[in-house]
Amino acid sequence: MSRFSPRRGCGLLTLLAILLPGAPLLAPAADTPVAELFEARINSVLAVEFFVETETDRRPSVVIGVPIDSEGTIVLLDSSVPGWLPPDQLKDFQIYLPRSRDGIAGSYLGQDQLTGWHFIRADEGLPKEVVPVTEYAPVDPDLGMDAWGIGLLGKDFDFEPYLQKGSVSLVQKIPQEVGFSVNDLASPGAPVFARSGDFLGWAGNPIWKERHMYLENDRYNVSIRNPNGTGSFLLAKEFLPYLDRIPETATGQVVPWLGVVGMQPVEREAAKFLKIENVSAILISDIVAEGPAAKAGILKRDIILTIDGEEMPKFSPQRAVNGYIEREILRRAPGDTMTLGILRGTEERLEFTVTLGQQPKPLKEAERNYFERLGITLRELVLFDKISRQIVDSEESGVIANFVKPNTPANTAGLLAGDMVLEIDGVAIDGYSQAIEIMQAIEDDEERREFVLLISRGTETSVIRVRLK
Amino acid sequence: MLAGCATNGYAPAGRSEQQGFDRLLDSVVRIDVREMRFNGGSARFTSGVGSGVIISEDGLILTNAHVATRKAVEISVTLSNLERVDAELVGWDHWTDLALLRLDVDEVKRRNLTFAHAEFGDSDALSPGQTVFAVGTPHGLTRTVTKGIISNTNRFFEASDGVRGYETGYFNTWLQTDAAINPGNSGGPLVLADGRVVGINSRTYLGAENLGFAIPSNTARVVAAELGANGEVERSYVGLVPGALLDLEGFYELEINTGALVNSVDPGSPAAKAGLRAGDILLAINDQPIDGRFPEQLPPIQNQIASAAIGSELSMTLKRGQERLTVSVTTEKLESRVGEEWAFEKWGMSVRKVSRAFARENRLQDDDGVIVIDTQRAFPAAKAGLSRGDIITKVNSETIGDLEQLKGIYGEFEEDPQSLLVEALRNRSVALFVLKP
Repeated sequence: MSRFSPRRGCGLLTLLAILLPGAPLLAPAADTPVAELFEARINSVLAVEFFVETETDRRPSVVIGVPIDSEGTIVLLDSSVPGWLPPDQLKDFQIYLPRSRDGIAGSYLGQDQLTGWHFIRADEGLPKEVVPVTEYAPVDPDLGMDAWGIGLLGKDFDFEPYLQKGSVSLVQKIPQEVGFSVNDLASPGAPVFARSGDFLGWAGNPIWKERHMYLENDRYNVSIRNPNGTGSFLLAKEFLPYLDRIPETATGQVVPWLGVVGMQPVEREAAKFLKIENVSAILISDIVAEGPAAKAGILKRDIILTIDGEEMPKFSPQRAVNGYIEREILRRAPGDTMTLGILRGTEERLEFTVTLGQQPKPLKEAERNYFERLGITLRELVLFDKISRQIVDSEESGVIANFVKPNTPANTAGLLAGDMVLEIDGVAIDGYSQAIEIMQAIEDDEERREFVLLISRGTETSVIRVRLK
Repeated sequence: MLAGCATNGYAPAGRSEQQGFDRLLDSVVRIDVREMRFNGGSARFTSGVGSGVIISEDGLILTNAHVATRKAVEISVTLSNLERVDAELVGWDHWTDLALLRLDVDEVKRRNLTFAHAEFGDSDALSPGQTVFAVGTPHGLTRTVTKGIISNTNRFFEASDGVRGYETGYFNTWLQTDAAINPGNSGGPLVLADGRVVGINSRTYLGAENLGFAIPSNTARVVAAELGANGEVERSYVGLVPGALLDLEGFYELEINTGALVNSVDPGSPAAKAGLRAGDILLAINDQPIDGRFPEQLPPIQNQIASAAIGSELSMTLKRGQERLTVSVTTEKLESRVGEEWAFEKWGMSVRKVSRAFARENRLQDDDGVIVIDTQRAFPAAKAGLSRGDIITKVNSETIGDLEQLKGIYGEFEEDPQSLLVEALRNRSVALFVLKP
């Protein structure tokens, strides 16, 4: 890790800017007043409004993002958009500059698997006063360094920007390097700057703060967080290199996959007991049958010690190693190999070379169909469902009732969202298209008096009779 | 047998209704129970109060399973003449919420105590609207009599965790009454004006008024006899959960009042192995036709299966679509979903054995392991990071098949404390913990 002082960093990058035409970096004088820096940098933060459209309603959402290039691309935090939602349910993206009333139409580009970030782009580009954050010189934080960032008020305040200030209290690898300030520095998703005006990083999700609350004489332990401000930021060097990971398509991405379930860090005491306390270790709870890890010979309960001969770094908290190994997988491509050093039992050391497979269809890409008259959405069964229902190795097949409209005949009869439909009218469901065909016939038949579903919920099944008339 | 009871009558000629009722009052007892509980990571004593009714000359007392459990360490009975006598648990059946106690006969003799015993009436002969009385110890108020009517004679009211976390109501229906029943009434009798016992008061709806439920005497008599003889009621299990057909006859092309719906089949159960599937219609068991049109008809069907000898073959006639088929199901012994409990005091951890039913419910691969009920702060289990709900599957690479095995490991730990590597399932993920002395 190279640490450099803001001034040196600034100087170095200014030098680079001179050497590399086409990459102009904006570097202010060191003593520029914060107010002046602020006025310039509010052009590097944007509010993004969109709607989540479900079967029966539309819910608005407003999040903060930063522009990253001259083509009008904006990056949003992982948490800005629910990852399990099919992209076609995300509607009407509107981009707002601070202090503006009129939105600029945008489109959703998708979510990058490695970083989790979402990307959107202004359909006709962004106004020229908008400055991509990449234009500012990046700087590494030093402990105690003054830091500040931008907050945005809500839509009714025309997204008026405001200044937030603090100083760097901690820099921690979890597993990416994240800086923390005791005070809030920016709205989640907004940029954070050094006193010099250099780019320090990207404000992350709000931080939970533990507090004691006293009511009368009773003490309560509460966790609170400010949804509009955060003191955490991903360092610039963990942010800038990944901005080229703009998804080519919002769906159908090819994602590498190891085929294991429930990776758990081996806690210190257990590691000591197993005499592996000097490395970071991760226990595999279960293996997906026929998956890449299974094919390579890895068993459930195996403990991963090394990747391609390298020990995994140690983290505090230890669970950060989960994020580390996940990124190690995701930075590869299906077909790539990964050699895993394994501890099996308490003694046996083994090595397996896994050829990564392709991740099975994620939840958000599962096919689904809404039957409006019946008020039911049926969704294709994906691996995620099988894992969460503990039926990975079973032959059970069916479709998921993904949505059930309240007070419809099906809902009154007892069907709930999340139920797995095993049979419709006594016909066993062995695939999505078959289920849709049968359900469509029911939907279209206005004379139909009833239909019967066999559903499974938890480990119980039950027969549900839906009276239509 | 039951008809005989009804015609024989209870009050012999010459004995008035009032005399019968007085005698009943003399047979109702207050029951104070101290029991061991395995909460908080250790064994602790708790106490509770309930009611009961003496049903034999030799001092057998019928009460609720949730009043006196197998964890009872001290049962004290207050007779109607305010004398206190110790009693012991003879038998326990959470499925019908009944327990059988016996007074300490030696003590009764030594102290020259007297008591009356009640007699049963025929619960099948009851009709809605009939006047009944509940006698018991609501909220500790000894010998309280409340009056009401039979509101329903055949109520379906099952609960998977009704009796202290145990299942109840699968094999019997309940009497419903509006006679006031409060906590502490549990185990006391529901009687007619002449004092004959037609039910054992057991449950109410929380938050409702005047909705009390009692185990019918005709169920209680049979169960009491079994508990007296064997200490438990052995039942057969096949893993079939029946459902009421209600108006589904049309859909299944059945004649009205024929068959019961197979609502669910427990994974890995005898019924599943025999090929039964949810959605099948059960037409007959051993050629006896089944009628499960309404929910209250389901407990008798369950009871019919349960009454078969353990390990016997039941021939089940099914309708599946247009097909009719007969399968043979070999019954297993019915087990509770709540396994045996124990506390390991030095580890500061109380546990419960994983039962077959629990394993099936949670789709565990087998019934190995014990569930952590609780841990005690700053004791080795809590310090290791174990917490409530974890399922301990291995200790030092030894698979924990039963509680005795863990007790053995604990014994060794007590003698020679050494660090132990514990493998546990938490939220379906595996984690390792170290129990240190």
